[in-house]
Amino acid sequence: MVNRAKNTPFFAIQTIGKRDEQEDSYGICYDFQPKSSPVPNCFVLADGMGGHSGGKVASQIAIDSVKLVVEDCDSFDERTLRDSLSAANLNIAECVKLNSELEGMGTTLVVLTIIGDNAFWVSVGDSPLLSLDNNHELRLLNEDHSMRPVLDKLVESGVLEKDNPEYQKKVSQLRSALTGDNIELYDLNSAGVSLAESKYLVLSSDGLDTLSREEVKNVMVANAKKGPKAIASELINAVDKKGSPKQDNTTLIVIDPLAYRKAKMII
Amino acid sequence: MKDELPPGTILGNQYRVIETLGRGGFGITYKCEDIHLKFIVAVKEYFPDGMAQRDPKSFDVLVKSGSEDMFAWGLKKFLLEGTTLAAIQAKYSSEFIIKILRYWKEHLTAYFAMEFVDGMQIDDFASSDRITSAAQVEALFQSLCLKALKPIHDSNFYHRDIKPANILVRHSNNEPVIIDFGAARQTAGGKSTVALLTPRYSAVEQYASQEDMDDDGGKDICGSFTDIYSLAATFYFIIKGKPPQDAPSRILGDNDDKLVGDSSLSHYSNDFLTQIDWGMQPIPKDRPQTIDEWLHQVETVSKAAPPKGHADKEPAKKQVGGNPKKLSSGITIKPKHQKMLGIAAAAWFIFAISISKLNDSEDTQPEEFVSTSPPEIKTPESRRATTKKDAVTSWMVGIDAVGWTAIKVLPKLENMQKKPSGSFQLRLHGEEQFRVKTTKGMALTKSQAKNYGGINGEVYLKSVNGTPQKVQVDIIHID
Repeated sequence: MVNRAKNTPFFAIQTIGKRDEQEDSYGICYDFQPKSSPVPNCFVLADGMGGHSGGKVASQIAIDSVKLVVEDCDSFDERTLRDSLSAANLNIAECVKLNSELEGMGTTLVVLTIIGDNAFWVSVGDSPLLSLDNNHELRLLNEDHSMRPVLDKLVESGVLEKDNPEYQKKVSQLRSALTGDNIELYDLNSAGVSLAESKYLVLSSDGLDTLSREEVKNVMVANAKKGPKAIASELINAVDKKGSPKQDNTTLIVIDPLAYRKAKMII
Repeated sequence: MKDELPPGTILGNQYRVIETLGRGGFGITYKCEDIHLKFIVAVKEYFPDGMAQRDPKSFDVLVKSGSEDMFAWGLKKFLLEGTTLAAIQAKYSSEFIIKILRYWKEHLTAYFAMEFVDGMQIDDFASSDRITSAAQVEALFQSLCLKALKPIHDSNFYHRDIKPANILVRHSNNEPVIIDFGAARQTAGGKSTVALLTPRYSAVEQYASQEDMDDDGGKDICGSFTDIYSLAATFYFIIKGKPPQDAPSRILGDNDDKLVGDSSLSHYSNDFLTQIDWGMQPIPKDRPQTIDEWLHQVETVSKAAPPKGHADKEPAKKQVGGNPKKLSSGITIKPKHQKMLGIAAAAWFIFAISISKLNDSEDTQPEEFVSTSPPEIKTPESRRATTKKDAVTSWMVGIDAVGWTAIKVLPKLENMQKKPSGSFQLRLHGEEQFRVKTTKGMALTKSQAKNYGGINGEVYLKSVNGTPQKVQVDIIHID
């Protein structure tokens, strides 16, 4: 569990769930001259997978790689997002090459930055970036690279029945992840999505999916006035309360975009 | 190379290994000579990647501890591939399906001998000068439907892995032949989180029905329409010169990849293009359900516009689809080792090019944007492992900002090893940004190289900031 200063406009928290190891990693990146800016310029989250601690290694390499790229860039732009992704993937490839027991390891990755009124990101995998809007609607902002949307299409078209065991078995398989191989599929949002209607952003690992989106929304709405820390803590509590016997690692970064913008402007 | 049987090895008291033809995740294929009858065969050995190693003295295949169940399961699947081929052969003796000759056990693993096909991969064939009209492409399609897929389906099998690499065209008569019936085993690594299919050519239902060890009785949702999708996607590649998007992306996106109406394809008959579009419908029930249904239209097409007549009017080659080997600078590169391709025309260069790069969504884009050296991460793992010695050849190349400079990788590879097989990593370090392209377009990383059959030609570099620069090239021999 990590606690940041009380009044920061964001809050990050983790739970290991029922797993032996925490395979999620996250990072909060600051400008390349940290002394001049105590406000982060970028939020990163990675959900690793693979045996022999591969998941932990892959997600940590991804975060470290992104940090190096982001904290070393002169201005944050599309190139920074692309380079972050490349660097993370490349370093995973290098690590696998040198440590054959880690072969097959991989990670999801979301790199999120907020510039002005807009959110920009690059995302690979199934770690959701959610926005709770002022009208209490919960929106998924990034693409879901798991098999879920594909299987849902098959169910919709009558090819696959939802109770076919294959559905449950395949639903969380990833169509794209950083494994060191070519990245076939990634979601790069360099045009920006307006946060004018966004009350909170939640960047999380898929451990949060133990809760339905409706449940996530309800917890967020109930705590909407209490700020990022309360929302993050209450969401984790709700996940723990579900008591899922296989509860996955869960990591959350909750951001209040308005407060974030204000904090940036003061500096 | 490690694990491969050396030339001269006698297998099954009958076959002498000449060379390795290819290596996939589940086996190694050798070109062999029958020592009694003196003819060439292809011998496939069950040797699943990562689960086994070879005893250097006895050549026995030793299963790694913990992989026993998976190895045994894969072995069953290997035998199934043989019996599938034999069953189809018994019913229909087709020139268009590879012939199996013998199955035996040896070296604690299993083998089968097959006919050796002297030919080239269908995509290489389609972009070679041996194809002179659109009608030839349409004729290949008809042959594959009528004489290969139909017998397979009529024998109650599905191939499940139709793709360019599994269709060879014989040098002798320019007719296609389907090889490699091992698709069912493709998922023996089934514990992985990421689907392990042949993405561009697999139908979407295959993503939801991968066979694996834990048979839970889930209903098989694949059918003839699954092979139909893959054959259509294969011809899409041949026609367009680039592979389609993978099926999950196609089912989710609103894909504008219809062939009908594409003015650059006017040399193909409209009916043929319609057919490929139909076969490539992402949702299974929107596709033809059987080859007969698909063929019915083929016959109608044939009657309405006999492919021969209509195509003879067509000018030659340059109009036949896109040519994946044609570089944008106008240089056409012929795969150097094309004629050596036999059965299981798998990659025999496996390249991993390690550069800071991203694959753009445009698949055909043959160039890669390369930034300068990426940041180095020193995790405890990498610190420990950097002590490991690799065979490295390094040199500097001066590259131009106007034209493309070939970096002459192949001669260096040949210097590094007498036989150009093995795994190499190509690393490029420039002072400034530069672009990279290969004869195989995007075939830059390990997985892509496998998909595309390896980089058979050169790698080209060009400086992007307007000034020439020097780039350091390292080739690292991984094994």
